[in-house]
Amino acid sequence: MATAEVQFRLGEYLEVAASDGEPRFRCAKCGHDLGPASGNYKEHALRRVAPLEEAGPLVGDPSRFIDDRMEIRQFFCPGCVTQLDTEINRAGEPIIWDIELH
Amino acid sequence: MAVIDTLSTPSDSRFVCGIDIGGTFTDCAVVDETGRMVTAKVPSTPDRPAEAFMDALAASAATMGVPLGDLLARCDQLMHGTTVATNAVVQKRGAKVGLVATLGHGEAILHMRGAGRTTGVNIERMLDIPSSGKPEPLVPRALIVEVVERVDCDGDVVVPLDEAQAEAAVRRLLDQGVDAIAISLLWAFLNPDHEQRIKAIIRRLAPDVYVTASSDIAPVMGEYERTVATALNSYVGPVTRGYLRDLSERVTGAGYGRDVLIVESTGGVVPAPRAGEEASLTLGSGPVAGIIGTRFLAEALGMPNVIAVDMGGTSFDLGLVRDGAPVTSDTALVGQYQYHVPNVDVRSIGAGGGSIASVDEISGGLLVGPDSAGAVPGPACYRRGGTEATVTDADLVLGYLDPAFFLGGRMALDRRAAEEAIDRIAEQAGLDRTRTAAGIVKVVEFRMADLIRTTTIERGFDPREFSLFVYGGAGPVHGVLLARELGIGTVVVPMGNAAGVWSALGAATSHVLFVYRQSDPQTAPFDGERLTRAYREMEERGRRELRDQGFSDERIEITRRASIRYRYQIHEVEIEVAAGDIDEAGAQTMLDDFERAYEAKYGKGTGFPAAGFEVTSLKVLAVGRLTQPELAQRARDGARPDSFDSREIYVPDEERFVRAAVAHGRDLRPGMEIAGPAVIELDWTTVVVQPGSRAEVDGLGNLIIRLEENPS
Amino acid sequence: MTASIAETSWDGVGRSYIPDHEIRISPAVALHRETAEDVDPISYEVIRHNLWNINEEHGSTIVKVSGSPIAVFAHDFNPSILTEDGEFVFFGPYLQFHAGMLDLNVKWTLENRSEHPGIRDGDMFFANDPWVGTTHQQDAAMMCPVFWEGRIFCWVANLLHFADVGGGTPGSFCPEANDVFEEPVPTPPLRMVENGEIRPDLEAQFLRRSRLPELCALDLRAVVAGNTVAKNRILALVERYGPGVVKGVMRRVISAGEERFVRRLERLPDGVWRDVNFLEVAKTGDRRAYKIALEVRKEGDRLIFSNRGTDPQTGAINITYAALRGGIMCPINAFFLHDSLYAIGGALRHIDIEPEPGTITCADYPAACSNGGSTGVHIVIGLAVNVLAKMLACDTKMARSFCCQGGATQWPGATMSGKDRRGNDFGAFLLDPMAGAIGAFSFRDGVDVGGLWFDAKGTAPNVEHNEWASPALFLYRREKPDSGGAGKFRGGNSLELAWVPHKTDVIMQTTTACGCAIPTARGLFGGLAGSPNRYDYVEGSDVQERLRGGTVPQDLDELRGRRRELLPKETGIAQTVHDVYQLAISGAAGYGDPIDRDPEAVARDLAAGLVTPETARRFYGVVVDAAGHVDEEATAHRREEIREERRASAERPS
Repeated sequence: MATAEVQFRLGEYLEVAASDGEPRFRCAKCGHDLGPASGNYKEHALRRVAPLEEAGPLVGDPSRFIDDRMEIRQFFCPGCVTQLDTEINRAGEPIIWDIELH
Repeated sequence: MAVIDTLSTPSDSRFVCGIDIGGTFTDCAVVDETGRMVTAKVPSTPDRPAEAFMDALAASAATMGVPLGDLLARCDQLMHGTTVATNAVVQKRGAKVGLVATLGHGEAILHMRGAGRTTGVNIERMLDIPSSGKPEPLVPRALIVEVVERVDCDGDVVVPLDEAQAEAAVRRLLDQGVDAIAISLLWAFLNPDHEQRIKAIIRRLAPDVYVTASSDIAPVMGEYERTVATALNSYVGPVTRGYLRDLSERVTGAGYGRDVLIVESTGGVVPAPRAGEEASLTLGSGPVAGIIGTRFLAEALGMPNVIAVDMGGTSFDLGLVRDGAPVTSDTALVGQYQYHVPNVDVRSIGAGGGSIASVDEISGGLLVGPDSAGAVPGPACYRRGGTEATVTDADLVLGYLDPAFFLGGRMALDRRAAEEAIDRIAEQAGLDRTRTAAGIVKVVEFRMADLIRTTTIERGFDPREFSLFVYGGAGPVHGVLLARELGIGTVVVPMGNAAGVWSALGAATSHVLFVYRQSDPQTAPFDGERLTRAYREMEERGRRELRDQGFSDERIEITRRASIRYRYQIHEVEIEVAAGDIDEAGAQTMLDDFERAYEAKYGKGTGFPAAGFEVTSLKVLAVGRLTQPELAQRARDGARPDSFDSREIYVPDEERFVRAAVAHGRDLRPGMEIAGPAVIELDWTTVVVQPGSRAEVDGLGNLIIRLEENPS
Repeated sequence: MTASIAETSWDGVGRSYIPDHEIRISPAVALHRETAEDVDPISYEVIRHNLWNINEEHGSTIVKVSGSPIAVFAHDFNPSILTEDGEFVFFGPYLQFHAGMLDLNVKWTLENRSEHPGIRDGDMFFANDPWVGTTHQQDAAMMCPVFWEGRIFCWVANLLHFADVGGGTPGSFCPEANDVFEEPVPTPPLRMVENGEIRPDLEAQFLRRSRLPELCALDLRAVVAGNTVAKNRILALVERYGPGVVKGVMRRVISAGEERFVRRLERLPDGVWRDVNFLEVAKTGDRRAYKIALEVRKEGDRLIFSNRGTDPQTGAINITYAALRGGIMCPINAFFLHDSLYAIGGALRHIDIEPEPGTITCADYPAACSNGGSTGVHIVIGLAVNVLAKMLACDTKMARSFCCQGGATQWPGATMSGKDRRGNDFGAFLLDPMAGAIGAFSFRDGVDVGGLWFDAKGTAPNVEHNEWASPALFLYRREKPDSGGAGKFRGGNSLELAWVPHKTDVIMQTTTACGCAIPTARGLFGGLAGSPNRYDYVEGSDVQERLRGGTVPQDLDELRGRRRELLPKETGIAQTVHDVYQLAISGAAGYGDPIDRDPEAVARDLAAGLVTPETARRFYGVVVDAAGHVDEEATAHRREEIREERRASAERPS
């Protein structure tokens, strides 16, 4: 991994580096590999699913107003556990493939 | 120093004297009873402005050949426009201010109505979010205290002031070492009692701390703008008051026997001690003095409508005189802060001789500004470190400026440096040097014309109904073409060389003006008795305070004004209200006048009477008329020198250089006419008379330029 | 959009109008197309600035003539100059989501009105049809062809929000509507002005729908006056410089904007960026969440957006294609074109939208759309911010050009009515959410109470204005601590305010909001969401006793009485003088992992009361001592603890 050449930085915590000619995501803080750049890095991250109330100090229980089950999904770097991204989503919805590089 | 007339004043003649302190120079204009005038210009002393003030007086006295003490002893009115408050704001060197506010509402000054990020920001940059932000707070959060009290929108007390709690709150501010305190409570303009009681507490606890109450400085509706006005006053208060005290002591010591009169943004002057208490009203008084001077001269020339343009190296100030009176506004901006203040509306637009030219690499267009080289590093031709091509460099290349006679020869310009800078732009633009320089001038002139047009039209005026007054170092070069673009027929370069000390002369032509405001919103049908009561109260105060200043009743003029709007509508229009008791018919007249004024401003059919009417605020203007200098008219002998110098200047219509007569200020005689193409070199500026226009020197020494194309 | 569908049904009738790249115009209308290619750099700049200035005067004329708070304060309008065939030359600095609309209206008019009734010199066309191209029926377009020697040289046009255009609810936002038949009548482009005069028959027909006919008549004159001023000045320009030169400048303004946009795109990799957000409570009584999806695909110098994955159209929360496009254009203008003087036509050449019809964000006729301006378009703006931000983040320079989603990502509507303190009827719509908040940047914090970035000239009212307009006493209006989303860079905090009726017995209250259950300002790169909207209410409280006793309550917890939350869409709330109503406006989003935030910044926020100690500890992992200084050891320990919690509770990738 150390030999991989960084192609570009992507936001706060991701970078794309070429490893054996294949561009791959990795953690910009610790260098941990997060899968091929053409895939969803979230599938290579630690994932925590929590009730919506954990999305912020002022977020309450959504069942006050709606029947759909909502959740917060946190994605952490498996290396340094930095929070790479969060999703607020309906339970059962697929993970959002937020960054797909071609 | 420039002398227009050699004063051979009778030894008992009285004087009126105006002094204006600018960033670089301090100007003085002394006019005697026969209308003759002496001017002086000395370097400013920014750290101790009172010194330059005294220097300018001394220089004038020397020119007149009288001792300073004599000049001051014979001076009836010493009027002064000061930039001390403005500098405190610009340099962020105002007082440490604490704010006392109503419980639950102390943050209004931080919220800035959600518009603090973009207010006052150039529209071209408004979408650049990452570069945007709120300004540094006038009062930091830690210095805002809230007091238990509440008044409602009728002025009724809902919760009485808790004096013990208020005293503790004030002590918290004093413990943090504030130099000044602002008190701004909700609805205090309707019921000032709580504010005044807090003021008394502060006076008792800390008599030296500068205090401003919103009900005194800005008694109008809208807590954000009122609080800014209050905090701003306390921010510039201590330094302004200190300066004015120092100044007063010096002139008294030198033989002056009255209060110095200070120019305020209202367009009038007030005695120095009063100005010290309403220090924020001295903000922007320099440009305002210029408009006062413009009004004075416009009246003498019989020109009711004037667009006044003051173009310097870095700034471009624009003000209007309409129907013989300066156009005013009730709000103003300091940086990104908007606040309530009655003011002569002078807009400052960032364009001047220092505006930098560039070529847009994508469109290939020739851009001028918005960046400016300012005075330092300045245009390339200044040789002060600037290398980028500016408007001044283009003016030089086109022959409009004489490298040996810039500012009366006080500063040499480097023509080669200007040419090199222009050539770099020319190469990028794919044009030759001359066309590039001409292009820079054209772009900036058109841009200024657009800005002037926008500003006049926004206020409901048609620029073609105006004359154009141009002053400031860089203005008269461009005045004729600017006028042509705007469809204006007459350009005035005021008072020849006196244009260089224009704000000082403006100060000298002021009257004392006290403005009283009261915001007591009512919907129609108006309660005439309540209106009358409010007006009478303000009028009595005005008369009393003017009498206290020694004005006899025949020198006191009182005017009532009212701001009215249609309900559910935003535009307020201020109208004049007749004196006397307001009965039903009087109230109806107010509405009729409002409707007429509204249509005049916003266009026929724009009124919305079906919605009903609302009067939002009342105003009384109390004027104490001062002796106006009467300028001496000189006989128009039309004498011309046998021959003029000449040089080549660029004439854009012909796209070539043409030999133009060059006249010097010393050659100008009343009645003399000079047809374009011509250049008139004055001590403080250069006037370019393009072909198709004709300049005439009038009996006061003004240059009046008439354009054939737009006969007025 | 595929060609086959476009040919058949994207016609602005059953489905939203999406023009083909080449529009079909009847030969009955002649277009001026001659263009001087060699305009010199000086003339270019002079004419360019003049055109911009003309558009500015167009806008200020609308403000002048209208005088309504909608135009003057909320700036809910926008003037434009478009080419002869409906491409934007200049757009205005007012409400930015109108950017997606006027070109559609002009193109539709050219395609459908050229033959009959024809387009003539002196005509202007009026439209407020969401399927042709407005946010909702309240936003009406007025389009004016500018003729030169018998041919259409260009168009000047504007959109303005009219205060009431009919429908079941005052103000024409109809939260109860099941379809457009229960809403204001949409009008496809019709020739409202002939020979420069408003046609009285058509005007009467339009005004007849409105509860405020005089105000609408005035606004109609405002938009006609704006167009007239712009048209005359453009004609003067053509007369002076010649039509070819002016057209040459117009074309170059567009192509320069295009070039700037493309150069910025070139810095970014190809790919697809996606995000999802949720609306809630489609109408009163509903208890569901609705998924709104947006993606952007970058292929070379093109951006292709799609809303695929969005839930089917429902209730009263829909928008059409025009509002979807307008919402997308807001961050395009701000993030890519902030230095282009609102010249957006060039960028639009590189933007395609492939909408999924029949969805909440591209609803087919006859879905209810009148609330589109306050729900659907805002949710799209937020989604577009996120997908574009993630794209821009791929370049270190471009990464500095975006901000996270701002405050009031869903407008918390609070509508009041009743008798004022003189016994007259009053109605008011609280405009305090205009105070907004700006989301975090990739390099610094957002701006507390920093306004709505896509309506940069908008302003919130003073409390005194509120109390003058409505019989209410505001107990407080202040920044809500913790409302800005946590992150390495914190989102801006927004406002919280509370009021009781004053000098009246009762105020009837209606709420209309999304984003109460589900926060809508989503954080980026590990940053957390801004706070949700929230309506709190204490019924039968002792607030009056407290006021009489000399205190002004500052915390709902101080009060006796029955505390509850109002529903996101609740009507018929009779607020008496004993009931306290508190509204918290949603905050702005954060950027980056909160435990990466500089502890000193957290300490500063704590000292200023902008975050609470509990949030500092729980989300930022920052502990301060009694003096407010960062306890470095305890902070390091707490942050390690957070990491351990994450490790312990997270699933490993499969």
